[in-house]
Amino acid sequence: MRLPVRVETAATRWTVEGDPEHWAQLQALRRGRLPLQPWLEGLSSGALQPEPELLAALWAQLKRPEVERLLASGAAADAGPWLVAARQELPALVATPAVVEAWLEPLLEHQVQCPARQARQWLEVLAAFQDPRVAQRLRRVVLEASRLAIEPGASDGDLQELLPLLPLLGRQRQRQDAPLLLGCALDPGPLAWRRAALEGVALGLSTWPLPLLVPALQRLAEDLSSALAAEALDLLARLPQGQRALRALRTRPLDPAVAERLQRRLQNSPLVLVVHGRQGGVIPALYCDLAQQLSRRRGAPVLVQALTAEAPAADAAFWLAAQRAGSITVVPLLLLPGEHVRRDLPALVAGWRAATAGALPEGAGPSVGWRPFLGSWPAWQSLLGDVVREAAAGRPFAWLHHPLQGQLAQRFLHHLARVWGQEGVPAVEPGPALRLALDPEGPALLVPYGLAPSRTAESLNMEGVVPPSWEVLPPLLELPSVRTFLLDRLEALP
Amino acid sequence: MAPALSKIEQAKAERCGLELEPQLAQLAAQGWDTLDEATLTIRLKWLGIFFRPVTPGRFMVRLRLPNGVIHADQLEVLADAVDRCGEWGSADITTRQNIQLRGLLLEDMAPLLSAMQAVGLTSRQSGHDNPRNITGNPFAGIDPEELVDTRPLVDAIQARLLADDAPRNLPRKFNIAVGGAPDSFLLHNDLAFLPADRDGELGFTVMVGGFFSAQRNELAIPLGLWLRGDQLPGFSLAVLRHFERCGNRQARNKSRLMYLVDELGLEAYREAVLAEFSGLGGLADPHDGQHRVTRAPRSGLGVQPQRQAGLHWVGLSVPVGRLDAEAMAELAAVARRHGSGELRLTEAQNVLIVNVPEEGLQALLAEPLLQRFSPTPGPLMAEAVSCTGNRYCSFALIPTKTTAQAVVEELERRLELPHAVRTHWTGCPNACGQPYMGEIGLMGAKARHDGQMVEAVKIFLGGDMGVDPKLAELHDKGVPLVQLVPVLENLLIERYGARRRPAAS
Repeated sequence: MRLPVRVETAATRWTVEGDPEHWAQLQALRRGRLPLQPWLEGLSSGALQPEPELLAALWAQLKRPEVERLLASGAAADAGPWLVAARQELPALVATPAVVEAWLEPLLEHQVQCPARQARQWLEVLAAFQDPRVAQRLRRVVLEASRLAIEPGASDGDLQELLPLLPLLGRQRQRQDAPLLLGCALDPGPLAWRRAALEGVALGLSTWPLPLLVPALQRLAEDLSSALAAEALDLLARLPQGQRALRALRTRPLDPAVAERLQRRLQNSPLVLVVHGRQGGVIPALYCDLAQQLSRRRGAPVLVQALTAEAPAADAAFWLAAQRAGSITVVPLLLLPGEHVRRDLPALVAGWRAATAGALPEGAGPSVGWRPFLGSWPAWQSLLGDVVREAAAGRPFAWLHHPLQGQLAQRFLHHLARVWGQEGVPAVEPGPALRLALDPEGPALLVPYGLAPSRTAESLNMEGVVPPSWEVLPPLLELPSVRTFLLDRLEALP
Repeated sequence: MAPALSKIEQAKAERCGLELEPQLAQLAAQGWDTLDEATLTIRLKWLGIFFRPVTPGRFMVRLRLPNGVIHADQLEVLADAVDRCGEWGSADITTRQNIQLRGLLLEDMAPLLSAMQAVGLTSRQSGHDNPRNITGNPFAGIDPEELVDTRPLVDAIQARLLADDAPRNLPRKFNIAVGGAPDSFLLHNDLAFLPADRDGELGFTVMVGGFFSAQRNELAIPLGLWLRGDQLPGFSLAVLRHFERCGNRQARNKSRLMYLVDELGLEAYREAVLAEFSGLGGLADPHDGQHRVTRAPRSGLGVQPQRQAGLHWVGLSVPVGRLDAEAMAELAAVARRHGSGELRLTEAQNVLIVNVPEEGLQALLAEPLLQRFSPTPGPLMAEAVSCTGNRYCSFALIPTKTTAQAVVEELERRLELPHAVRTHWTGCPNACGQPYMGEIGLMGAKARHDGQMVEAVKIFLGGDMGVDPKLAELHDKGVPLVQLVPVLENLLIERYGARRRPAAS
């Protein structure tokens, strides 16, 4: 028979739930300021009810013989209060050696001796401990339940009691459980069951083999349940190289809310725009404006690096964005395959790789990739043809380029001449060549082939350098269509 | 022989939690279950990371937002972190003008801390035995009634207390606040600086020892010292260093500052702190403790004119301080769209959009977000403050936030009130929801109802944060939640001038 409201002993005045002093007494017990023996006696003899708060206060205090005594007594006849106490208290204690030493073996033994329903509840208590034997028992029960879950007509109600076991199996972090948990999440079945399985995946996330995990999460991201799909998407975003897996989802049929979530998770790489600087490495303001606008549109940092200067300082935000995106992209805003493209650029990329290794912990470093130089993009060549033809408005035109050496460069210039229907003129003493190409007396358009102002281009605007009937096109970046093209194309880069 | 260190003191002495920061990614990879109890439940809190036994594996991060100031780009980073947690994610505005994020995996911590750093946020030393988020006047810098702009002072105190040479192992948590207006009620802090005059100069009188706990509740008392604003960081450091050295490390339930003041006596305590301050090159003047805080805090809700001509702040009621990712992102967007992008958080768990030009008010008031976060809430919702409750806290005996919201909404449906009534809801005797400060305080409890033990509240009445402040006193030791609405309804009618709405009578 259980005693009623209050139990008094010579040493301790026991309180029970509802007593104004009960909370303070349990706190004192939990903090080891009250002797344990009277409480143990009371519980073992049945004089005290095994209320959850009392059991919770005792978890960290008991030694193995005391645990064994309690589990063998009537206090352990009903697993219910133990389970409530375990949920509240055990998670923070299960890596404490003294707690493991006191509880694990007695619980393993006690759990197998209980009838089915009690055994399940004791298994949940036990499952707080990370141990291969515990994982094995959990696995067996989950496996059986998973068969029940996919039977036609299975309902949430049938599996309700077993739901907590799935996250607990995940917390065991046994790699071999990846197929079971992912299968439970993927297979048709009650939604609550599938979500509990996915929470199990989440709680052991770093354990699961990526070749199994990534495709399973990608499939789940397409699930009809948007909640399940959203969580799968968020888990993908947390994985190493998760951005790649997310990008693969862009063409998949996703729930609209999940597609929006995908957009939020896709992280653009920080860009490094490589440009011709001016003397002393000064970067023309046009490039800085472009980078600023681009950074806003991409939601990622954009740096400008002049070929003739040191690499710009990358701040914490740059490295964070690089880490999240998993990559840094170098984009050479160079128009011709000269020495800069062929020799300087690889060295510059190598410099970024070294900087990355220095700035971020090993294994966390993003990759550093680079795009072909801008002038080689077919879309760019086509755009420039249109821009020049439109600006020329029927007038003859000539384009003036940086002088280039070598066969490759010459072949490239011939290619551009074919695309634009006009040979280029090298910028070394261009006067005679230009006068050969264009009628000094008639109207003509002169196109300095450069994105930003350069010394050569500026000299053309000096009085007397070109005939007054010729128009000199401004730096290409000042042309709205060119600027728009660059912003759109660069924004679209991953 | 020195007394043996308690388990908590041992854990703190063995290793400072700040050292864990570079290992966060590695700890996540090996799994939180493998962390020892001290690391999991104590040391991680030095980084602002809280293990939550109610949601094992889903952690909480508590930030530091000095003076409750946050910018849209910062709030967006936090919104993104919560968004990544899907349905597990949420955030609370706390009673220390702060934000805590919930539902995070340990895997989220390293990237989140980096992301926060990139926008100037930190969660450092926001939990356990540390100087907690430092509060100030939520209207600082924009307040027509302002006496002192508390923002630079609060920033300077935080910078000093988080510096490398500042204490990292206090005996207990420590709350500091700086007052800057006539309604800066701060006497629940261990150390409060209240605006005060001395010889015609405006500075601060020092108040010490305020705290609430399960064992004892005290309002801060005058220490009898006066400081200029530029002395606050150094003086705060002196108080903390003395507390670190002399505070009680044997009994955590007797380790808040007031116990040390009691132990030494106010005079001796003052002399000890002055000596510590002197060692830092500081010198404080004596003072009679009179100050310029004369009334209970304003809610700041609704459209309010700023000190700056043509600008307003708009205070929005966030029911019981609970936010989700979408609301956070939208708050940031609204602040950027209609104001300067800056937001303020209040101790009553509400939010202010500041620097809104006159001509932008109408558009702001038409924002759909304001359907949810009203600038003109009912008189109970406006000042309903709540702790986390048992959804996330294992101490709480009731679901405080949902209960508070449901009860307040129902009471507002039934009653008309002539003025706002401040209710403070807390889930357990630890009193995180500050029930003793409420005109009506409610504390989670258990009570017998129809032969069963059920969720209930103790009711406290009479908390006053005005010129003659006092703590609320116990009125009823156990009202089952199922009976709470009618009980509060009668209380509000009898004591606070409420009238039943015609349709409800």
